[in-house]
Amino acid sequence: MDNVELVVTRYDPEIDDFHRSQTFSVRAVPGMTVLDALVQVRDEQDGSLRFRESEPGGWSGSCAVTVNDVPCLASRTLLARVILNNSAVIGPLKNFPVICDLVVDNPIYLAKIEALEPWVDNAKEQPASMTREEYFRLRRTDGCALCGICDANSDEYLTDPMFIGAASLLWTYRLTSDSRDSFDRERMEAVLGSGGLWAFSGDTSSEDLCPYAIDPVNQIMRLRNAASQNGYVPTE
Amino acid sequence: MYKQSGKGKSITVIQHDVIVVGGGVAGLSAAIAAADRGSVALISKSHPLRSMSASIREGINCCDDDLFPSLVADTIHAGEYLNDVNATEALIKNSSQMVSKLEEYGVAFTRDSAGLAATAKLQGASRSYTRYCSDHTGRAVVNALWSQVVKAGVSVYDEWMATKLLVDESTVCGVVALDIRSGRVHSFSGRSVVICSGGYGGIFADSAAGSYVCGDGLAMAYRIGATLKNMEFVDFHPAGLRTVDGMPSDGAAIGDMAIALGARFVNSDGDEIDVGLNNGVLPPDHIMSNALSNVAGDVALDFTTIDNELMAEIIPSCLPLLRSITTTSSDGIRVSVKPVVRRVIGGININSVGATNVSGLYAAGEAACSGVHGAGLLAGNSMLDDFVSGWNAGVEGSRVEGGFRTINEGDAHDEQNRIESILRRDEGNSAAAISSSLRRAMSDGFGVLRSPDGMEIASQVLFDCRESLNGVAIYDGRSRYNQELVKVLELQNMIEVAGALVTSAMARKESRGSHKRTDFIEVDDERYQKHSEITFHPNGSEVSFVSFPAIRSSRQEAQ
Repeated sequence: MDNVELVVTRYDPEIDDFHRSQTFSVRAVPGMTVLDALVQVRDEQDGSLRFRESEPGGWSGSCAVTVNDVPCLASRTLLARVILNNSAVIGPLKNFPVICDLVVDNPIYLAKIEALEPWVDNAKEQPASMTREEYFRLRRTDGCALCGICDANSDEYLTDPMFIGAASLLWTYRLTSDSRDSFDRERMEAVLGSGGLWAFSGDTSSEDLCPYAIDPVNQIMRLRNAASQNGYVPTE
Repeated sequence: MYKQSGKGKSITVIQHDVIVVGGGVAGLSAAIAAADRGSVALISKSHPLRSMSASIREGINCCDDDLFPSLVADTIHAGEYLNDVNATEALIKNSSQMVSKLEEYGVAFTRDSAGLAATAKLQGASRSYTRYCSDHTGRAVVNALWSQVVKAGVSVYDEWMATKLLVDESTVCGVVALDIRSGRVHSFSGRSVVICSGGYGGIFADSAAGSYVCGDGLAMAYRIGATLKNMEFVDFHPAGLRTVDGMPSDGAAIGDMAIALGARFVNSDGDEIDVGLNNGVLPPDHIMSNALSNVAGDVALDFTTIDNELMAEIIPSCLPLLRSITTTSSDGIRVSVKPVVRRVIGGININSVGATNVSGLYAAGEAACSGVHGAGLLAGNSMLDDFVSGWNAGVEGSRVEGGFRTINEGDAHDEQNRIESILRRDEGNSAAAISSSLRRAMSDGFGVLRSPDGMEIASQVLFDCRESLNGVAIYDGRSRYNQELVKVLELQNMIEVAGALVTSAMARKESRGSHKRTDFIEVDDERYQKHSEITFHPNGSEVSFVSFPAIRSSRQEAQ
């Protein structure tokens, strides 16, 4: 690997009318990630480039961006695996308002989760014990970092800009499958309105891009099956 | 929020009873505990869900009365008799109750086939103490605690960076903080401030922490007279995932659960490396890291002998990472690793309830040091300390009574001007270049093995970095989301904290725990079974060695 071109979206909503793209040349090294390349650009060429960093390993979920139209964690994406014709196109996550360049508005996104009352509410004081089966069910969703990749990959926003979001549905599933939580029914009903659970396409054919191997589509389909079994039906 | 005016200047002040700085496990815990008694602000440089705590792969130690003596003994063995024995016993005595609290908050710990809580035996432990959620305990705990913070109605100021502690009559009464998204600087007023801003692992290049984990809270407290303790000690984790040395993605700590699962360290010929396994018990991190640093050539962590199903059960979160940034061969996974700084041990000196030597100022978690970890960390004690010390400091901070003190407008304005003036510096050095040379030097000079030459070179680099600090420039002066500005503020903190570490490490002329010097290879109990303490002084800070409630080592008993 020698020099690789990074074509990066630049946009400051306070100054720019349109997104523009800027091309940088980076010294590529085998084993470097897209995050490493972005940091090289910012530190050595253009200090005005804005993006969120993550710690090594990307467990924090901070560094989600779009590379060649595919949402991914920059720190978990090897540059060598994404370059086409010696270049890679990097932009902000789709379906999110942009604060600046590659930085998207997380607060709006996380406010949707906060509105779910996302804590385990043990009003009936169920004992904290759980079976191994239940643990396995919860384990998958507990790895969720709310990085935004599943929502950036949701076509539901095209037809319904008010879509509640894949992550919101995933967290609802997590809470309803926890025996300690006393509000399964209320939680389910909270996501049945317009832009909610029924608006989710459940297209399992698309590639699972979740960096934490949570497989959100299948988890959300479990929530939908549970809703159907409880007699809920889609409303027009 | 209110307007405070006087002396012709007016400032807007945001008022909460307790101000918590930092949003990891310790900060979330402190905020939940304090919210029972008043209004709480949680100021965090990144959103709590993005905190370094979420990257903790190991679990959390806890034990019942039967295992209590053994967990205390293992902790003190890992800490090489530098543990404050009262603090250690108090932490472990509470462990079972506190882990139950996490379960109440919604954490789902791994169950065995009988549906009972599973435990793991991690490195340094002679018994199984560690409760875990496969290998994403940090994430599960952060998510659960964050949900409780939402429930408790804590005001979260995320992507805000606290830059200065405000003091009135030697008592901390608030902080100045930069709202990174808007670029505005605000003052907070509180009855107490609790620093839970994490450690300083990012001042090392070979680190599981990003460069932004640079001891912001320590530097802020140090500057107003808080004592820092045992700064020379950091935990070197043996299995940091090696990608490209020095790059931001390099050094993720993947090891604990993988090692517990039986992954082996091998050299470049594929032969197993002796890391000190004895009767089925692995030594603590610092001994394993030391063994690996003596190996010539590359070191790899080898998973090939481990059953795939078991891997999917125990390390389901590491597997996607390994697949995404390493090349795995058909016969299984073997990844290049090196020792990395995973958690630091030194921090703001606190007593058993989290109070510092400065009135109104509390600290907890990795930012603080009660002496509980001694000179080396026992795997699994890290998150326990974060959660418990955060809780204690939150409770204590919320008990401070009396009215709010007046914010000194002059101090608030000075800090605002200082930050804004950085934005106007358009000629000079880049903060990134200075920071990366410092990080490299710190890893080379104050890494697993500390040689006189290496330490000398690193001190020189640190001196040069400090000299060039005033000439740091910013490329882009827009105030909104200006990460360059944040980097400059971080660099200032990094240099302050690195200075305290270097001075403390040079003063401790012995080898103990994670502090291994090539010029003083023995433990010197007589002079140094003491905690190092350092207090800020503009013309050079000095270290003093202070006695603490210690227990005598078997080595001393034999004499």
